[in-house]
Amino acid sequence: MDMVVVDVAGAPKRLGLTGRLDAGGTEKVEVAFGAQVRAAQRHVLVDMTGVSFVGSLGIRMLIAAARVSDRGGFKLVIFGAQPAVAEVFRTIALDDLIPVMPDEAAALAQIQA
Amino acid sequence: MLRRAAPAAVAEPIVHLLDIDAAEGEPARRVAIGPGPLTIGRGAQSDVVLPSGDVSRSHCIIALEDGAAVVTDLGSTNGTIVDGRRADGPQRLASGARLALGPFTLVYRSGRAAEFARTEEVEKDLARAGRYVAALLPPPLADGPVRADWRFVPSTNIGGDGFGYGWLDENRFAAWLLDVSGHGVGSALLAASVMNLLRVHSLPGTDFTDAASVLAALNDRFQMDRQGGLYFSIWYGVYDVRTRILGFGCAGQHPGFMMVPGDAAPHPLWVKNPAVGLAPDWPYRRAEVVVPPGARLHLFSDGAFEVITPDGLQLTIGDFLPVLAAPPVHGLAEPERLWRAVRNASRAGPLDDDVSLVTLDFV
Repeated sequence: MDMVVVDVAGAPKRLGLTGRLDAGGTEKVEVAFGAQVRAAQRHVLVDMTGVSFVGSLGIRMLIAAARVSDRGGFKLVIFGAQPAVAEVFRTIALDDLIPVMPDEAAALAQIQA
Repeated sequence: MLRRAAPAAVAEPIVHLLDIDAAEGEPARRVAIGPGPLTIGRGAQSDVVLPSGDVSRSHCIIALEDGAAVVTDLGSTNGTIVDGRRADGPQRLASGARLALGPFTLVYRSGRAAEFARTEEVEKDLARAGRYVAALLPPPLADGPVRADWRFVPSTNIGGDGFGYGWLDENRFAAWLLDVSGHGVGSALLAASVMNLLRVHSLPGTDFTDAASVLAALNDRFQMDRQGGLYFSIWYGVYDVRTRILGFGCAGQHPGFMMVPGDAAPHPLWVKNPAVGLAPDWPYRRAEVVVPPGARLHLFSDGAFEVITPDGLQLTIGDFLPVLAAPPVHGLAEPERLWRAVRNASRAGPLDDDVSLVTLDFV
């Protein structure tokens, strides 16, 4: 599980995840992911295009991060979920709790809305 | 002041072990790899005998060379597979390497004896947690208007599955299946807490005949922030024999699936709601379905379908539906048939998650 941070002044922070967000993958990235969201102090885009699997601990990581953003008055928007991952998001109703958009353009539009 | 030289620290020796998973009716066991070579094969003269026609009489040998374990295939018919690849020549094994010999999986481990003792203690605790959860499960029901049977296979790390069913009164029958996030004793503890509440209907002010009321009460009681960061998904339904109506609700859980006589495809029973603990004060919704005579309801945990195949493919629920729709096997309980399909579809070795399979038959 890897994370790539794109931090450009004036734009939402972009966190790109790659790999399996299962128990082991989540453990590997959770602390760094949370720290990036806490330090962002602006909107956050989470790029899931490279994530092939999301388990229950991965869901918890995303929800905890969204709560941090929300408490700071910012949005956290997920985009690019692969079909199997999108199905998990739908099953657990994550998309009722966090904006989940098909691509980056839609995610940016969601932030600007 | 006299100073005495401290005794030189004696490094604890490294031990080398082979964990052999249960297969072909043989129980799981652990074998130490000593200074001499360890022969493995079907033949009785082998140090480790693996009784299967797919294992050669003298299949392979494991020996320690410069402190490392090296496996060498002895020209076996089906080969010695190390981490998914056939070993062509002598191959050094990393701790955790998985050897596949016919239907048997052997995991090589090396480390200090004290570390193994600690790991064994943790594994014993996990096994105890699994047995406790299993003790809370209801007995199968062979008679009455609703028949129930199940198969529960806890994973090595305990996945936090739980389920139950029973009569709320003379006319209404409740069934539920839950899955706590994460693995380990913490998940099992939360699963056991919820199972006990549901078994004795101990949520004050809650109408246990109404799925939405139960989900809302659980959500109020088990918010993630107050449960060590744990949450759970659950399917809960109540069947009324007078009306043949099944009222149900899901919280973050995939559908239950109903097989109806005459219909080839399973009917998903699902309502979109977040898992319990994720969203305070969520207005949980429920739905209803009429249950025809002879219908069969399948409830199962995601461990039944989120398996990885021997080819490394990640399966999803869509891959499991044809298994549900397949005809029953005479003489084989339906949960057992499903479990064998899960086991056959997944790669060798222990499964990553609990597998819970509950089958309810409506007369």
